[in-house]
Amino acid sequence: MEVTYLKAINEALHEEMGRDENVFVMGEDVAELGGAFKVTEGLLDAFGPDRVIDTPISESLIVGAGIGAAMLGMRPVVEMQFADFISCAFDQIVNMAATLRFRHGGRACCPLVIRGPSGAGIHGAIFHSQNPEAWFTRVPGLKVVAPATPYDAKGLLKSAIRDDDPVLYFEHKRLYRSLKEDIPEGDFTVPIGVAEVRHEGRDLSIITYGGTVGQSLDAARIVEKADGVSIEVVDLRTLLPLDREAILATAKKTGKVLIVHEDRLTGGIGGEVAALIAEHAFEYLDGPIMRLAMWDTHNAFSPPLEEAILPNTNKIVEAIKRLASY
Amino acid sequence: MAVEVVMPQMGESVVEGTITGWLVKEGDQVAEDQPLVAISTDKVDTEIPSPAAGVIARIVAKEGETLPIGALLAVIETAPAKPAAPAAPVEAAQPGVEERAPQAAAPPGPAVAPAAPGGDGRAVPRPAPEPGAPRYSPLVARMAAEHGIDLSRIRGTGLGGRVTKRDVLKYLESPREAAAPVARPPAPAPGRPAPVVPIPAERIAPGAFRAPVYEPRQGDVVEPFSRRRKIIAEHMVYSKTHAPHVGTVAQVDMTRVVRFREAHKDAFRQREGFNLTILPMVVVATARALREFPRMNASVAGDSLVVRKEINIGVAVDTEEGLLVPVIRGADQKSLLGIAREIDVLARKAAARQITADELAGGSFTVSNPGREGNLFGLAIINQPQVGILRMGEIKKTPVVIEVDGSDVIAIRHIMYLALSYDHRVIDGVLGNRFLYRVARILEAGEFAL
Repeated sequence: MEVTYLKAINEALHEEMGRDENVFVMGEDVAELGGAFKVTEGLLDAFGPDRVIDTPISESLIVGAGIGAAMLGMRPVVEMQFADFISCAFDQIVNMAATLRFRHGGRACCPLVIRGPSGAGIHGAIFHSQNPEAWFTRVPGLKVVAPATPYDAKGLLKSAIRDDDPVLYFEHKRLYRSLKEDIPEGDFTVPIGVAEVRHEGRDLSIITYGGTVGQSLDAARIVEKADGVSIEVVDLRTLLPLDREAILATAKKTGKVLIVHEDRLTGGIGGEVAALIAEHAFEYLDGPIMRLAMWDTHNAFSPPLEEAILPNTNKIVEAIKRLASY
Repeated sequence: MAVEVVMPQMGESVVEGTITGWLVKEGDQVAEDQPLVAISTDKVDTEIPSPAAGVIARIVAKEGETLPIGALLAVIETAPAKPAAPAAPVEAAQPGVEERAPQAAAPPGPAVAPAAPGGDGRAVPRPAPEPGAPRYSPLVARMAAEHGIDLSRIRGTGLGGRVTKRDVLKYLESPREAAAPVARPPAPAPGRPAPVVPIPAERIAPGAFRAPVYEPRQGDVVEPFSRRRKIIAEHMVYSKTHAPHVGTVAQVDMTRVVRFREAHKDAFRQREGFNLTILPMVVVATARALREFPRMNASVAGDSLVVRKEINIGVAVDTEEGLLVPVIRGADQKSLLGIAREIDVLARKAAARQITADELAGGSFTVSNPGREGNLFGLAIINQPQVGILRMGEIKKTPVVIEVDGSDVIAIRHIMYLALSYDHRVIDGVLGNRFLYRVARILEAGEFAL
């Protein structure tokens, strides 16, 4: 059945809530309104107000309540209306949720999912465009995923809900209705911590995730057609823990790596991926590890400015050509 | 050698001192322990003695400056300073050279750390990379090491002529089409005529050639080298690669030798039981000539030429197992008959595989006689470590011009081309020629006796 990225998330919530009565949804406007983007639409009717809960505008409260419920055996899926606002819940996430298992010597766990629409490209300006994943990818105890396709959106959310540790689930809002995919009906999961080769190639690798996977695939096809350079595109899917094997395998295979992400360049996931490759695949490199990411600035409301700041297919094409010719 | 003068420790609680006055100036000759500078601290006033005898090369600390313990005050040169070599331009060690190159869009190359400044702000000299020296990616360097490739032989197709993985793979796939390095002349500045640059010739490093792989075909017979064949092959390759061979050929009128043989061959056969051949006469002539040119009767031992006292002439003998070279010892001491007998015995022993190692060892010169037909002349490979070898050509009746009673006439004579190969490391052309000419004259004179 062909579904949008948004519908795939909605289906996962429906199916998981139907499968396990401990799963419940909590967040700003998730019940009556069905969420700002309608991701939770229909859940209130299907599961009632005890399991689909509107909250005050307080991300710290939402996550904190989720942690408490998770400690007592529930499997809450809490929503940050925009991932930008997750910083309000920073302490609850990095000091409480992430450390719970450690503080209790492994005898307690926190099966909490924090969803958040992230990403730019919709002229959302500073507060509605952020990619906050890198705030969290250096925190032990957390898992961070960023699906790039409807199939992964559904499968990764199911895996996140079933995971016994806190999982941050960053869904790219630009993909909500722009991506459609024929996915199998019914239950399936996508494992956390496993990257996916989206396109096989031998001359150059693009390592990417989330909103830039589709752009990278488009760019790869353009360059392959025009210049005959064979490009491999690897979708990380999970940002914490990184799939080291997949990263090193593609680096060793092609010897040239371009890392693309929509998050800012400095301190982004790309730096860590580059370091992994430099450290463990140095002798396989035939060119510098290159990164293409958002400028180190805040996102713009103005469409031409936003276009300039963000990575896009054309910029990826240019970067591929530079690295391929190296 | 440069010796540093530093602010000394002048008491446990003293952490700094003030320069109150220099007692010397730059360029002054100073003796060891000579007071150099007056220092004032909050505890004491003192003078710092020179740590060494020499010349004040540099005064670093200024009068009135307050400096911590250990701070550099001056430098003394203890040996007479040599004229300073022109310092490598600091720029060469700086990063960014590439970025300033025309390909500004190029991705940054491997970063080169900038020259780290010393504690006092002086740049610490570090070896400057050769300007324009190519840099290779880790992958390319590893592939080169694994396959033993000289990367300078590969034409790079990457940015700025960089050698890429693809280039190496391509090179490995076609080893015989070894690419030449691109010595790219710099682009001429606009408005200036391009400098004349010779077109770089293809340079193929040793070891580039690989014999084509053998592909079996119906009916082929594969004959693995015997041990003897392997040794012969090794010997021949060694000789050809170590000794630069010069070949020179003499036309020898063998008519008298042939007549001598004709005159004696029947009686000889009856008496001795084997045929009298030409070879013993050539050996006799060679032995006589070697006595007159002892440097031809020699060996190369490392960096030395060893002139041998004994004239031991090896005679190449063909056997089923390959060529053997039994040696006639003291050939210059033996008669023609003795040599003829010895060659006959050795040849028969060789054919019967009864020859001993002693009979094959110790040669100081060699004569090769590879057969009569289809052998006008040929240049033999020197039997190492000897310095020369003679090779007999076919004896052929040939019309030649000779002088009879003061007038030139065309006559039919028995002509042989006798070729000498000699090791040009140790034998010069004049010597080689004179020796060969002498052998030829002895044969032409034909003064042999049985």
